[in-house]
Amino acid sequence: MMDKNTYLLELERELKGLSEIDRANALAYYGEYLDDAEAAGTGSIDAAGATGDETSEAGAQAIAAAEVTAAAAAESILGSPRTLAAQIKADIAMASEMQDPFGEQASLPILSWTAGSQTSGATANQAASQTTAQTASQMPQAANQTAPTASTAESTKSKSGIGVVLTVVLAILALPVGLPLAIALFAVIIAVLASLFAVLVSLAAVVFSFFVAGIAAIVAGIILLFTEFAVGLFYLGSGLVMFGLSVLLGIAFWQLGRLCIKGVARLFNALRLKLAKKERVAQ
Amino acid sequence: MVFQITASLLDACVLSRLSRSDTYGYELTQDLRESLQVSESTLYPVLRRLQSSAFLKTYDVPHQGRNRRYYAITESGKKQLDEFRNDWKTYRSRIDSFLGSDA
Repeated sequence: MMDKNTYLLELERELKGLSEIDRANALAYYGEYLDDAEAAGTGSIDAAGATGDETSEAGAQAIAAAEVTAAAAAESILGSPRTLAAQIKADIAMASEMQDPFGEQASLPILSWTAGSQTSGATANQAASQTTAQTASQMPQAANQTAPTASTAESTKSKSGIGVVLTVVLAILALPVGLPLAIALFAVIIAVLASLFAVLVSLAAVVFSFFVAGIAAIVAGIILLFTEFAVGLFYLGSGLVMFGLSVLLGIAFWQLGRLCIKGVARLFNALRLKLAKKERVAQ
Repeated sequence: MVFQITASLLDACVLSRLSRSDTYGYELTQDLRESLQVSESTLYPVLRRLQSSAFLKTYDVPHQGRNRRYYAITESGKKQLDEFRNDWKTYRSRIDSFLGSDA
């Protein structure tokens, strides 16, 4: 149980992050509200006193009950300051973030949340609304000052890009640990596959160069046979060796490459099946 | 009550109450709470919204050494209320055509 002033002080503290004017408006409204609630409570004391003589037991009980109300159990009327503040902030953030065409729809979830019992959803919403409210508070708000004459207020609405970015960052930070880990694992798999592929490609290049050099050496050797027989023979021989090697290695790598591609395909297939199964289980 | 009251309906109810007479936050809330299941803190956002749409205006009246803020409906608020009432009539007759006991 809290008395009115403690309650309002607490509320003011919880409303930190709102603009001066938004905070003042909310505090004025709820301060007045509690005053009126209190006045209504004391009113019923008078009523109780008027209806029965105070010595009668029923009359005394009525007075006692009314006094409890009059003691400004602000918390029992408006809920905890924290919850109330979260609600105010969420509403203001919504109003500033959403432009008019969506204004009505945007306020719906907040409304259904406030109208219902305010315990379970409140804490969950609070964290989210607090950050948006803070960004919202940085926007200029030309709100209604208390003027002696009747005044209509138009709060200026603007959308800050920083607010959106912050929300995205928050959302990423709020993700469960599993997802970053999964991303990291995926990246590692891709990296391993990429390096494997690079090795294959370079080996293929070696084979190909053997092949080309072999043919070149054979041609050169045949030509040289007519001038420098020994040198030509040497070239011819080494050319044939290189050509033969390249053909053998080419067949070997061809098979190896096929195996690798098959293996990768099988790996991804297995992953896909596993994920699908998980999804089915989740459903 | 299993049917939830929507934001627009609340707007309409508040405007309707204000079209009868100007009043202040506490009284407005208590009046609405007589027939609707709304919490004590439901109306602040509603009033804020209506005010920023210029459907209502406020003025302060001194009361027992403090100010009491009164809410009054504006001309555009009255127009909006008429619109709400028409929409509600349509909505109600549509729902009634399915749900009404004499449908």
